[in-house]
Amino acid sequence: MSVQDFSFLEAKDDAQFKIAAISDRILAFAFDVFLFSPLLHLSLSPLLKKIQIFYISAPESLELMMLSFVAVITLVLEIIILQTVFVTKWGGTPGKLFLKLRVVSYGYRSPNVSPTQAFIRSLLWVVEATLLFVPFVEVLSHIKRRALHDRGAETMVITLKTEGDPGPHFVERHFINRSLGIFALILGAWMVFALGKAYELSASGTFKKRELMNSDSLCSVVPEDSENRVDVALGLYLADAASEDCVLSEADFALWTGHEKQKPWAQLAMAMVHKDDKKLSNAYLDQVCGHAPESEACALAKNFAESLKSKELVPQFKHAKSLTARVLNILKAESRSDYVDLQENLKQLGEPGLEYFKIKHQLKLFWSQSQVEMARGLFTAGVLSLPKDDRVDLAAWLCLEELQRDCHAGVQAEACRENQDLVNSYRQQKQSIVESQVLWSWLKTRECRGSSEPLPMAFTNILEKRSGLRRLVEATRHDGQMDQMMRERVLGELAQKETGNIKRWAMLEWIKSAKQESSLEKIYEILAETNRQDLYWFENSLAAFRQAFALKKYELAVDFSDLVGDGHMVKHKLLKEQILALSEAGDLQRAKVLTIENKLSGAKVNRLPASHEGL
Amino acid sequence: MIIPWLRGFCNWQIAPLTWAMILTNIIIFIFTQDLARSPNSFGTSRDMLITGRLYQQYLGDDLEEKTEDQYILLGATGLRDPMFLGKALDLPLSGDEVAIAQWRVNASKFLEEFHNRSSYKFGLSTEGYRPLTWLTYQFMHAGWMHIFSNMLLFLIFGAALEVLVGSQLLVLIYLLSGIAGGIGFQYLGGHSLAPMVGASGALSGVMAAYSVLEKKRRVAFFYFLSPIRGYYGLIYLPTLLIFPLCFVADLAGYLATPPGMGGVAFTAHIGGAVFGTIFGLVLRLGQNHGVKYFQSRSGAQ
Repeated sequence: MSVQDFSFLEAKDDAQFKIAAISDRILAFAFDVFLFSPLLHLSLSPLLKKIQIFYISAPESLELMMLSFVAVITLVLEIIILQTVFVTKWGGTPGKLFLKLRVVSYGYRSPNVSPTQAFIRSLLWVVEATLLFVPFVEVLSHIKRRALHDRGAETMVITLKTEGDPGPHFVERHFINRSLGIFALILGAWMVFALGKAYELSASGTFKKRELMNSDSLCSVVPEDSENRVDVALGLYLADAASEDCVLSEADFALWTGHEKQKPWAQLAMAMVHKDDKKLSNAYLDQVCGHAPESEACALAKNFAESLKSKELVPQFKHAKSLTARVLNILKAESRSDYVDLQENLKQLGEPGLEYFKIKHQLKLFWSQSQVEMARGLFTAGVLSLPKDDRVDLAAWLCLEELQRDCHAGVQAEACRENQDLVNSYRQQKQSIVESQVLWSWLKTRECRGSSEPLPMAFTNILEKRSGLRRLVEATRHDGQMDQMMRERVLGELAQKETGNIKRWAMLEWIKSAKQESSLEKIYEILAETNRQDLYWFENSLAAFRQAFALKKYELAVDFSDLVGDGHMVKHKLLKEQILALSEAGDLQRAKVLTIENKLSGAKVNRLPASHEGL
Repeated sequence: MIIPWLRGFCNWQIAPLTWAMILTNIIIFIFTQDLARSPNSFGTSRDMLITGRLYQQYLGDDLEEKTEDQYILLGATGLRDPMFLGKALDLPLSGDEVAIAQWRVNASKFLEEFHNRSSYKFGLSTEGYRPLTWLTYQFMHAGWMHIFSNMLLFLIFGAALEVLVGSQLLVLIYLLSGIAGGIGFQYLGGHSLAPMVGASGALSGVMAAYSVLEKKRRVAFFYFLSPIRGYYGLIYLPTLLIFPLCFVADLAGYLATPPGMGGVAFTAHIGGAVFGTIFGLVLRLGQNHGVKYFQSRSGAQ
């Protein structure tokens, strides 16, 4: 095939050329790809092989960049050379020749395409291809089906078939031109924005920081200058300020890259993160002390292993240096209601990223010390400035405490109003609420208000997912279908089988609604067995005592009072007042009350959280 | 979209053996479906990540930290290396000792499961010498797409070749091309734990033989760009163009793939194609020199 094939094109008038159909041009392109891609692949195969090897073995090496650059340049040059030669010599690429298409000069005396024209055409073709072939869309709108590469090289594609393409309809032309204009505008705006952003990042020197944040192996919330990154990541994780993925990536990095100093910390982190898998957790704990028996990580590992075995709270870790140990101390102090220790440990915490953790514990500290106004002030000043996701949990917690303190006044407290606002904002944005504490505090607020507002749809998701919570809500509904016996049975099951908040709430509800002696006896057994240092143990024991007394089960009331007294967590005078207030005047009952009073007189230590003083 | 068109090949009476072999392949595939599933004990991305890290040490790499995806990719490569898995169970490896101990347990389970799979029993492997697998691998396939693409091409070229040379010679070309493909896999592909399965080596031989015998014939392809008229239809491509292109593509694939990587056995394609070409040339030579058998075949057509 050669240019002689279309010698009839010697006509001076370009209008005599028949325009090639778009479908033929697409097919010709597909044919060229089919024909040339194996050849191009073959020519680049040694480079591609090396690129794959370097991509795996040295992804950030200069060799990989150079190889990729050489491969791209080779491909571009090959395409340009092939197109130039075929168009100059034969008037079209093999695909075009196969489909009887030809590339001719447009507006010239001779239709033959010069080498310069062919070169410019293929160069522009490559540029268009790098823009994801979008400029090719112009062939749909141009009256002679000439895209940028044809106009730039002063060529056009014609067909030797009997029927040519009639060209686009003017509506079609108008629509495509406008669309391309809009696309160019958006692309231009995006490029300006991207350039501006790149300029800003370059000028401020934050490129490296962003790179670090995007890296798989490092966690972005850990400060760059941290000496022991794994310890910081683990401390932040325990304080709910970093994700599990974050601490795992730091630990993985330390374990596999031979950071000997951080290795025990990495093993400790692995053990703590996988604490639900006891076998795996213990396997990691066994490794910690092997590397550094004198280290703080080893001491913490022993401490943690002990807590895994006994389920009892372990003693405070004295003279803690690491962030992990300091955070653990705070958590332990809080769970033991040891507010003196909590205050001391909070003072030592100054790392960035722990603001919410500090505020949360400071607020609980104020609350427990009966510094109610301070707690409320901190909530208003500190918590409300936090991101929505951080303050949801705390608002719900404080609201529940406010309601516990005073059911009617509590609904007007800032925390309960904030809780209500958060629920409303979720409802408006049609988002699901995932915090069970928010649901529970909303229900308790409704109960204290005496309202019958239906449960918002935002809670549907969490109720579907958490069967324990759903059963608790059903069992505590006043308009529910459950009879008293069934309610007590369900609440009893939840209090014994569930964990965390659900267990705690179910226990309190069970105690408050218990009418049967068998339920109270079971409650007594559970309270007698459970950890008396638990923050809510006193609350439950006192509620059980009051319930037994109200039901005139005086012998059980005596048992509960013994329990409270044994726990050394009561101001006995206060309790006596409670007993007297609860009792109905009557000689027999008064005599029994006095018996209880006498029993309580042995209580010595005052460890009652101040929040309970108002009981 | 462009696919080979079946016009003229759908009648089983024209090429009964081609259809019978396709049916055989499909039945065997149905009974060896466990090929498509990964072994359960070693399928998590965590396992692959650790495999990648350990394979890096095994290769004596400079311990340059990689992204998670790169480690997973490296792990997949390591699993294909028969030397690595065999040695890694006993090699002193450093890193996360607990994870390594767990990995060793999982890896030995994986090897045990792997040796019980159909792909290992009937597939062709560079590990060990099992003569029967040189034949059985040709009738095994790893997935529905694998068998579909192979059988579609076999239907077109197998039927065309059967019409030309008869059923007996077609079987001979199929099996011998498969064996030649196996030789290519064994001697060009390097060591790999992953066994080779599939009729593609045999198919390459069939395509090559047909292309040599019928070099001027055109094969119909159906193209579909859009439902608008003119944007779909048939296109006829010459046989002599298709086969060399396939061969070049295989050669390029072979040269561009590092040892132990990639899911396509280019070496088997090359082996099969070389044999098919030689066989086709011999047949042509026989036809040209009036060998009795080929004359009778030509007379039969």
